[in-house]
Formats: sequence, structure tokens, C-alpha cells
Amino acid sequence: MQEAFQLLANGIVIGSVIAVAAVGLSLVFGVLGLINVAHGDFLTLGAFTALVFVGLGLPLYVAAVPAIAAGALAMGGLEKVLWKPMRDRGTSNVNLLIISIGLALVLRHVIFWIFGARVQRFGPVSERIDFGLFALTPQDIIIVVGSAIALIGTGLMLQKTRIGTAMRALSDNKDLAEASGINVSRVILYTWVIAGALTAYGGVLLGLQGRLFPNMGWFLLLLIFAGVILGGIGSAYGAMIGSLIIGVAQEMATHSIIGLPADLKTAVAFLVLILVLLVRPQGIFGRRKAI
Amino acid sequence: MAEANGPNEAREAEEPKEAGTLLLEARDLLSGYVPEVDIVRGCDVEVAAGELVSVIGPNGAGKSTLIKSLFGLVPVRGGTIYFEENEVTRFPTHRLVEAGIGYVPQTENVFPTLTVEENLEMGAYLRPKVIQERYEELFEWFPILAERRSQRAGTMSGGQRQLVALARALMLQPSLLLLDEPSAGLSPANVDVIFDRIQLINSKGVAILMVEQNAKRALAMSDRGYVLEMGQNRFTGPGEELLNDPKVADLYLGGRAKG
Repeated sequence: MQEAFQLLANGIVIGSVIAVAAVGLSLVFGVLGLINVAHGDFLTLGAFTALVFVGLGLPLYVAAVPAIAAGALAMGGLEKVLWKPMRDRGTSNVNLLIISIGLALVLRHVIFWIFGARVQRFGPVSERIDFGLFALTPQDIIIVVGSAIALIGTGLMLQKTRIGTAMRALSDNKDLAEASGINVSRVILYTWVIAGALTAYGGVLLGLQGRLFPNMGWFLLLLIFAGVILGGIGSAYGAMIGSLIIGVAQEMATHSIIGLPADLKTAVAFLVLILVLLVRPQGIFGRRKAI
Repeated sequence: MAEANGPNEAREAEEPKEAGTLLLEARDLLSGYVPEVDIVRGCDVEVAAGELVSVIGPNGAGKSTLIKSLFGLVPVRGGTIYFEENEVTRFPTHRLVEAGIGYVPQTENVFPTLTVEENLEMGAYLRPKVIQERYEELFEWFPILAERRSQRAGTMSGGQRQLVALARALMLQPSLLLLDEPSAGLSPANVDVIFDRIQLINSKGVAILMVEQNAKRALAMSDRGYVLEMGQNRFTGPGEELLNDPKVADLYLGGRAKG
């Protein structure tokens, strides 16, 4: 029993990291219909930016600030110099997806080139604290709390602010948003900036959860996609829930009763994804589209 | 009352505008979705302040394309468009909204996951300060929306969604409302409701240019009508006159080319 609670706790920790990253991906997809393959590498960007400032002697919670700024600036900047000009030229979403793969490679290799392949840490991992049914490191607790704050903040932004409502409006119907007088280009830019900030922050949490290396975000990308799709593509709330389910499912799969080797846990996450989609093709919170 | 205000000045639609002042004027309009294929081929359209004008015509005549061209949603290749005496040809849509034109598309005209209130809020995105004040008037015109202000628009019936769409387009107090087949797909009872509301809106001084399949009813309630065929306006005149014109009847009853 204790093993199950421990795995559940571990699943929630990794699920929380995936959730923060997935919401950013989902926001961009909802507003633009773009599947950004480079999304994972923006996590890496966030993590390594924080690492630079940690290296300068700043505590991690301070170093997270320039990391978040770097993510926001990078995604917002790319909207200005890359995505918007491409869309204005009528580039199809398939072509944009291919471009995002190229962007992913560029980002990863620049990070590799600057920081090398060496695995690094923000700092030593502290001793686990025993909560009876499970034990977590202080870092794990920071991840869960930090993720909850970001997710609640994003939810409030989407629900209570004018820009958030406009983002949801754009995700519903971009043409109608334009016809209502909404400055669509500006809302898209803000969406990128918010997604960039969230993603870089997710990268810091990911680094806190384990180690930093140039492929860290790329390796998480499939799980992020799984969370987004499971929750219902384009639904930010779905992405949060879907990610937690994916995180918990893959940890639970290693329970001694199930007895799967840890190497197979990612496969289990995808098995859950497939099973859910067989029953609910639009995902948990997704809307069924008319054919 | 209807002199050309600057586009950013608030317009008061309290009292009906004096009819006769030209609000919208399109000359020799050429437009179409694909390069070199003109759907609208030399249309002239005029709407005076406070007027209710219908555009009718067989399927494929270019009615919807015409209204979308006027609102910057279809590329205009030739001709000129004036609104309140300023040239607005090829203005981006959001500037036309700013200038005082509202538009309701034929389909997908609400934000389905947004509540009624949020739909209306998006209609006033350019001027959020007016939102509360506009709710009061619009909820009076559309009482059903007041009852359902927290309901998601996507869960409403077709007729109610049409009301949400109309209210959204009226949030900025436009002096001209463009309607693309407002009665399409509605039950007869809902068609009555929608036409009734359109007349109410018009009676409050908002000029309306509406494209309609339901030609007889549209002409019967309009000050003037245009009959479009093959992207050109063949006939124009007072609604009643067109309604009784044998040539217009022939154009419909003769079953001209579709598509």
C-alpha cells in the first residue's frame, strides 16, 4: 500500500511538471492550431538560463525570474520574426510544424554547444521527508506547489481577464474574433509570451526534479503531447488534468503488483492515452468537432 | 446628427438619424476570394443613415461575398467604399469595426465556449469601458439573453445564438449593421423573432444592410432592396416595388443558374 502512495506521489510530481509545459503548448495550439515541436526545447532553455544565474550565486527562486523572462522573450520574439511572417505568407500548418522541428534542433544544438553534454544539477538534492504514506524531497514539494500556483494563475488569467477571454475567443473562432474588432495579432503575441513564460518556468521545475542536459525538454515532449491530447487538444484545463493522469499512470505502472520494468513506464502512459481516446476520441475535455 | 464623426468618437444612437444622409457608399465594387476570379463584378451599394436595405438574389449571385467585401473579409480588387464620407476601401476589418460597422456572419457567429456575457464582452473589445452600459440596453432589447447571461453560447438553440450574435455586433453602437442571412437555418417561429428584432434595432436608428434568402419577407420590411445576379445588381428600388416587380419575380421563379 505504501508503495502505491509513493508511486502516486511521484506521479503527481512529474505530472505537475508536464502540466505546466502542456498548458503552454495547449494555449498556442488552441489559438493558432500550430503544433510546436520545439516546445520541449523551450523547457531546456528555461532550465539552462536559470542554471546560468544559479552559477552566478543567485538562489534558484531568483534565478527563475530571468529564466521566465527568457522564455517569454524567446517565444514572443519568434512570433515576431518567424511565425507571424510565415502565416502572413500563407504557410500551411504542416509546413509550420516542419519549421518547428528545425527550430527544435537549432535550439537544442545551441544549448549543447554552449553548455556541453555534461549532466548538471541546480544543487545537491536534499534528503526525503517522510510523510508516513510516502516520502518526498523538498524539491518535489516545491515542484508540486510551484506548478499549482502557475496552473491556478493561468486558469484565473483565462477566466477572469480580458486578454484571457480573448484567447479563448480566438481558440473558438478566429474569424469571428477579427470581425468583433479584437486585435488578433496582439492576442496571438500575448499567447506566445504567456506560453513562453510558463514553459521556461516548467523547465526550471523539470531541472529541479532531476538533472539538466540538452535533451531534457525534448525527452519530455512526447509526454507533454500525451497530456495535451489526453485532456482534449486545445483545452488548457484538459492539458492540466491529462498531464497529471499521464504522470501518475506511468509511475503506477512500475508498482510491484503490475511488475513492469521502469523502462516501460512511458509506454504505459501511451497505452492509457490510447485507451482513453478509444472511448473519447476528443479527449477528456475536448469538444467533438462537426465533420 | 449624421455628419461624419471621427472614427473614434462615440456615436449616440439615442434618436433615429435623419434618413437620407449617405452612410455607406460602394462604387463599382470588384472582389473575389481567389485572384482573377471576381465574384462581385461592379456592384454599387448605398445605405443611408437609419435605412434598412436588403440584398436578395439567387444562390451564387455573390450576396455574401458582397457583404464580406464591404467588411474587409474578402479582398477588394476594384472600386471604392466610403463610410460616413471617409474612404475605407481595403481597410482591415478591425478599423471598420472601430469606424462604426457591425457584422454578423451567417454561420459560426458566436464563440461557443464563451458565456453570453463573454460573447458580448468580446464585441466591445475595442472599448471595454462601455460594456456595462451596453449590457443594460441590449438586455432590454433581448431579454432572453439577460436570463441566460452565464450560459455558454454553444449550448443554446439556433435562434438564441442568432440573438447573441446580433447583440455582440451591437456592443459598440455601430451606425451600420451588416447581416449575412440572419434567418438561415432557423425554424419559422425563430425567423419571426429574428426579423422582429432586426426591425427593432433599425427603429433605434441603426442602419442595416442585410443579405437574405427569404426574399419576400426581407423586401417587405426593407426601405430599399438590391437584386443581385451574377455579381451585379440588376434591380434596385423600394422594397415594396421590387416585391411586386414581375421581372424580379421572374428571376426567382425562373430558377436561374445556381452555384
